Amino acid sequence: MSWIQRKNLYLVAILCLCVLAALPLPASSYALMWVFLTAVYLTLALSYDIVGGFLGYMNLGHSTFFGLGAYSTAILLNHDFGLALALFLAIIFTAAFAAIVSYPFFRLRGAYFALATFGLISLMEVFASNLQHVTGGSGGISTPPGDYMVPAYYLSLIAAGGTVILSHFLGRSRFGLALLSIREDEEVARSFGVPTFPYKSLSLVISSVPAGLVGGIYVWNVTYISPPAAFGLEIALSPVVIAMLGGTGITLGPLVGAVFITLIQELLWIKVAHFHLTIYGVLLVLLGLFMPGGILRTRWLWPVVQRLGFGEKIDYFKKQGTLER
Amino acid sequence: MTYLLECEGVTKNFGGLVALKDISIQVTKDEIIGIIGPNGAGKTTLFNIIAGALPPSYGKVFFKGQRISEKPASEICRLGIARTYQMVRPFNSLTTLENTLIGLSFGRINPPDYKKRVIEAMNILTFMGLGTKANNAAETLTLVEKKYLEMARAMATSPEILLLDEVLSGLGPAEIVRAMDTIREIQASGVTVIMIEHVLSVIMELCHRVIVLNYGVKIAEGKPNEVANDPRVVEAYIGNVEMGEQETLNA
Amino acid sequence: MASQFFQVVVGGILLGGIYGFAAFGLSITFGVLNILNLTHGDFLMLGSLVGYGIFLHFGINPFIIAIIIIPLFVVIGVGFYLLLLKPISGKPPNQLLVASVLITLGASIVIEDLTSFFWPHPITGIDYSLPSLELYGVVISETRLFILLFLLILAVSIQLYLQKTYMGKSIRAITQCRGGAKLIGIPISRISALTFGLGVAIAASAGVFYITLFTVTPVIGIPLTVKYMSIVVLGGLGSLTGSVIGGIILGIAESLTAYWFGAQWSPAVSFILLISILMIKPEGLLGRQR
Repeated sequence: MSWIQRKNLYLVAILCLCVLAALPLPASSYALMWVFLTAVYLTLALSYDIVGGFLGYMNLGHSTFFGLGAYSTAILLNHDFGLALALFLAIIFTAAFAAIVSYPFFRLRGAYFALATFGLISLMEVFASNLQHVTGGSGGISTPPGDYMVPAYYLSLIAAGGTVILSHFLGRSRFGLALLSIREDEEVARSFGVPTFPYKSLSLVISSVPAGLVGGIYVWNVTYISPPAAFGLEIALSPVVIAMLGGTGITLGPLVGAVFITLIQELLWIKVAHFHLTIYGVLLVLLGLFMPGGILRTRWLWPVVQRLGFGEKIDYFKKQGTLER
Repeated sequence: MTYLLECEGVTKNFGGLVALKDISIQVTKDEIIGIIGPNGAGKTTLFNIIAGALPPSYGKVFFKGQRISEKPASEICRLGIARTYQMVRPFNSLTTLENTLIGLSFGRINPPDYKKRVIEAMNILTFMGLGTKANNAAETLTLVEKKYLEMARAMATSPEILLLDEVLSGLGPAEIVRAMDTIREIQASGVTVIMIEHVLSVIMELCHRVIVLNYGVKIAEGKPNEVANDPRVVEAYIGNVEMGEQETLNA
Repeated sequence: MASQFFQVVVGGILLGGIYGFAAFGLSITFGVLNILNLTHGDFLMLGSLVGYGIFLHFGINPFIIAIIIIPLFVVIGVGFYLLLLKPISGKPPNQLLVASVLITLGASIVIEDLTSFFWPHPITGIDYSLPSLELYGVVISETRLFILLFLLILAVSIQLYLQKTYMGKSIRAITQCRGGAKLIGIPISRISALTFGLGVAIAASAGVFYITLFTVTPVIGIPLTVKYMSIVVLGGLGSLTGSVIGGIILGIAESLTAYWFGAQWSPAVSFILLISILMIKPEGLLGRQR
């Protein structure tokens, strides 16, 4: 097992990146779309995990940010804004929305928070369906057509990569440590100087940015968004399922979860026309019953994860050793 | 003169229950102050109010002349008041070192450099005798170790005042002696200590001044020996104190 | 104009009665189990489907159906609890929350997806109506009035049950202090199972009336759960009066919203109500926060 080392893992990662970067040359647009969607789901799951995993607040409404990003980008694109500007403004809007809703939401804890965030998506769906003149109503909204697959593919990879880096460094920062302490015991964290409320709000804002961004990229590529696609159950559940499946609170978790889920989709969805949601549901139940820590925290994998240095417990001794030398 | 810490007529009601009534306390630098009293006397409530976990119903708390009774707990910690919990409450799934790093990252003095924080945290842990446990999850520690972790985490915030809530309860005699040394060293490093304690012999030996609470009222204050002979204190404790402790009181 | 307004308010009260009754079921489950049951609305939906089936085949009066399906759903609820929720009941609060949300959300999705596969079309409802009643220019549907009366009787009998019987007293004891209840020897596990069964049965029974008045589709479950949860937040845990008052407030608010802004906006009401309550008082108006 000596090949399981951090160094080799980086090699594998770089290799994967090279393959992904060169993929548009030979691959069909179907394969590109598949990777594109995986990147979108991964970004959603990773950004969900900032609040759901690090902070320990179960944000079932994370896809609200995806939907908002998608809708605002679509509306801006239709008003002849350039892509970059549209994405930028969409992110600002999404982040501002997150900042505003964080005030009432973080007065809640536990089940109440989970429920309220879940309710938020249904509210957004009502708004998207009813504000006809802005959103196009329940029929959805189309953006300028065109073949954006290849650039969108690269953009989604960049977004996903950026979120991986964000999540990785968050786990090692002072801010990330504060989030973990809030997860463990909020009152104690406060009495040890952690400004809990601002930090909770900030973490929600940070988690909203990647979600809003991929929402925008998604709509630009697919050129269409409707209320159920933006705020429906399937998109709402996928980040939670992916993060929980892989393992929350670790950067590697959503990565594993995303690959796993998209593989399942690829293998099952195509063959079975119905019961997609049922499969999601059964997965959720099984996770809750048997694997609340996710795949990575199972008995066989966790030692490997720790050995790679991706566990929650950072090996400070090693770092200290290098300091003293 | 301004005191380091001053409580002015602090009162706390929980519904109809008066937990603290018109408590005034002055603390000067470098003291070790003991707070004693029967169960339910309001000792922990007083700590909660000083540390900002609870707002007082009436009255004010000043720290170096600055009013802190309206400030959030996190800000009070950053000003220099740290506390421990009677029922230990470490961040269970974080390591001992991470627990300590929280204090170092958000306390009164927090080194901006990550490496400096780690070194400092390791120093504190070594001082508390937890150096070898730095990488263990806090939930795996023994009760005694958790008590020391509570102190380590509090000391990591570089406090000027340390509130110790029954850190000695549940420790054996030898461990109590060691803990007393630790508290003395903490005080010698320039930290003012206010401690709630039931082990009266410790209070008699360690504290410069003792405050006695009973049913939310301050019934006595003074040097340990004076307080022990105060008829009101003896009265409050009679029937409440076991033989051994009563002897200590009279000693 | 004024009579029209009152018409809307009366309609809201009638609607709110059903809400309050169903929410009460959620409220006792949450109080005893400390688990947020996201399947509550789905059991209401199942109750209305089963009720509809019985009505089609046997033509029994819906009021009687509402009673005879109670034991059936108590059994279903107890089975659900034993199979899915009992295994996680011993976990610490933090993990319990995550696990319970995962399990009940997953179960809810499975129920909805399977139901919509087998009942692809919305069910218009049980065709049962009584003549309307006119009072000072306000028309009151007699069907709804009877339903409301019936629900009140049902609710009062449940309340009496909770006050007089050992099971009822245990439920209240556990809601107030789990540790204390355990100490004095209340069999928490058995009471939890029965409470869950009772909660599910209440939802199913309310479902029979629901389908008498409204169209039912398999996907109404989760939005209904959100609605009931906001009523629980409004009215407090384990309190029947609180739930009924909360339900009526929500019912009136929804009717007025539909009246002023159009029916498509009424789904937003419960959520906006929930958020505004929480802004004012995070524990809910009469509730407690964990």
